[in-house]
Amino acid sequence: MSFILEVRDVEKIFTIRKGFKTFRVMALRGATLTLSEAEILSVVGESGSGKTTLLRVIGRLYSENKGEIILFGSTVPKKLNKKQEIDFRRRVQIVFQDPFSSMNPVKRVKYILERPLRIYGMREKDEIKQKLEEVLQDVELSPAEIFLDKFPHELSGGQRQRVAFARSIITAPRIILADEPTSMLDVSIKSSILNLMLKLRQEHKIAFIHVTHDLASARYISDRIIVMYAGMIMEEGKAQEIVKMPLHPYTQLLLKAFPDPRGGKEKLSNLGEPPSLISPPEGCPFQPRCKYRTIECENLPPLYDVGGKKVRCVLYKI
Amino acid sequence: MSKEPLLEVKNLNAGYYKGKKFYHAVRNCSFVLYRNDFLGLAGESGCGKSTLALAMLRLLKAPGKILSGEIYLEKLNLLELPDEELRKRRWRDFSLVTQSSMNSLNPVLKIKDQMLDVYLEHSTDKSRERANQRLFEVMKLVNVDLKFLDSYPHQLSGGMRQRIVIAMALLFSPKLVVLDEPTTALDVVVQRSIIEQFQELFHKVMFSAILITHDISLLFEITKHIAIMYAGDIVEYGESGEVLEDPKHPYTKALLQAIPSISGELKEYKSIPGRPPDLSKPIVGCSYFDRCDYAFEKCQDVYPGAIRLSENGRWVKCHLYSK
Repeated sequence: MSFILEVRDVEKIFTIRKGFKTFRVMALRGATLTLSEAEILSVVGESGSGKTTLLRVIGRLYSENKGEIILFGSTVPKKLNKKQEIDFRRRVQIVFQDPFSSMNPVKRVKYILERPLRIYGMREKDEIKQKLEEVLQDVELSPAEIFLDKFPHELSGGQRQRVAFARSIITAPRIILADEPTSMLDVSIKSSILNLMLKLRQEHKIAFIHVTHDLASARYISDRIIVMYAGMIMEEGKAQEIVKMPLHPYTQLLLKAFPDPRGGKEKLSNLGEPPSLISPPEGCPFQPRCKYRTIECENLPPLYDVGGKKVRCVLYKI
Repeated sequence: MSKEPLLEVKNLNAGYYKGKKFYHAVRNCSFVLYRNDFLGLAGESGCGKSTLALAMLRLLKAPGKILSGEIYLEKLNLLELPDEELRKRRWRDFSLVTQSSMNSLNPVLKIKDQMLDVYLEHSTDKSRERANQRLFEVMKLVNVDLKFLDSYPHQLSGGMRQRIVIAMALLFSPKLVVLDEPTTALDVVVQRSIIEQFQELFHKVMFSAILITHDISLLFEITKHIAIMYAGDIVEYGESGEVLEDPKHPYTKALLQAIPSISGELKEYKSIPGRPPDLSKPIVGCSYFDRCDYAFEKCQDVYPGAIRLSENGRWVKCHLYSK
């Protein structure tokens, strides 16, 4: 099986200045992942775990400090020139968290959806119109004529996010990077956007990298889940397996902390807080909070293979 | 559990003026909160749950307005209480933990000064020494190190700030604490630690609490009773476990089918088609009528009153159960 996207040991460091001092924030410390055709991969973690940074590096909104991104067998350069960028964005699209700020508020839906087509050189009016109707149908906004003339503020949050998906599929991409697409939406419509992603995967063979902190939606739509902590991948595996039998102590904590109306009320005490990314702890980043900590944790463990899953924890050392 | 009512809200109507239009955000809301009860208010954004919380504590400011209704806190009608009398009771009898604890603390005052400010203003005992002592007590209750009393809010993490706001709400051991989305901006692990803390306090300090959040999984997990709100009205009320296992109102049913769950068999989740009604227009019949799968003629024209379903106080506002 060949992968359509490979990310190899990507590192990203941000420098921030406070007064006269500069700090290096290690947002991403060596992330490696692969994506197959029409696969939905969810990246979960708490705020500051580097999941959005990873997505943005893949989407070329940031360039990595180290590492390599390989799309369809060829390395994506750190800085894209105009031609490369057009070619890259045709195949990789991004859907953002907040569907209101990701759209021009003074332009109608028609304009918002037309823009990518014009950039990709479509000029025929009829052709454009047909394409617009097609994508609106794909995202279940019908009748298309009504929605084309609306401004973003006239749409509900769910409808806006559908327009955002329509805009991203209009160039027939192979990969959509979705950054918490449901976190700003109401509970009652969250699942409709998740269902839409499943449908787009089914009908258009689009692969998704879905960044979320909501483990329940990750479990619902994804094939695989990657768990991130302090800029590192801690566990990777099939979605159902990760949720049913988490291996890494951090994944176990995350799952136990997740609200579950039918859950057993096991008490977790002294949960601690995520580490600073400016001076991350030596070795395993989770060791200051981990109840299984041993002397060995002071060296960073690699990702061990455990029955098809990958875990960064010495407990699973073979 | 003693079934002695602490707070009784009867036919509360409130909303907001926007120009000449009136947005009727809370319609005919009635419910009872018992002593040492933990009630969850669930609903989508814009369903009026925050407005209800503000209105029942008489904190609704213009352009918001309470139109009618009665709110009894231990036989005392809060709506008829003179302002000065009400001010004395704030913090002492009831307190509110607001949505964004990030912004509810004064950024230029040390934590200690803010807490002392509240304490000395509302306490009959003006001794600074005893005030300090009480501060130490509540900080211990929420498990925050005393050294943070000398910090400014921006020096603390979100979880810490939320704990401090909860500590402030407990300064006078009030009978009622209303929590409006207390953990929404926090990560799941931090949320869990605050919730566990709160549950512990709940058993230790003995107060009643109302928790408002759109995180329905969390509500069902931790509350004793639950009230489901839709378009400004409470459409179903009952014990959390019962409502979860056997939802009666079509809206509650649909809502429970829409939320992905972390446990159990993986099934298809369906969202609720349509949108909530425009609250600036009058609603004659059932507010859920146009989205309901079970709707019949009566639903459009007749407002469904609360129908008691069982002895333990469960009720639903739906014509399907009126026989």
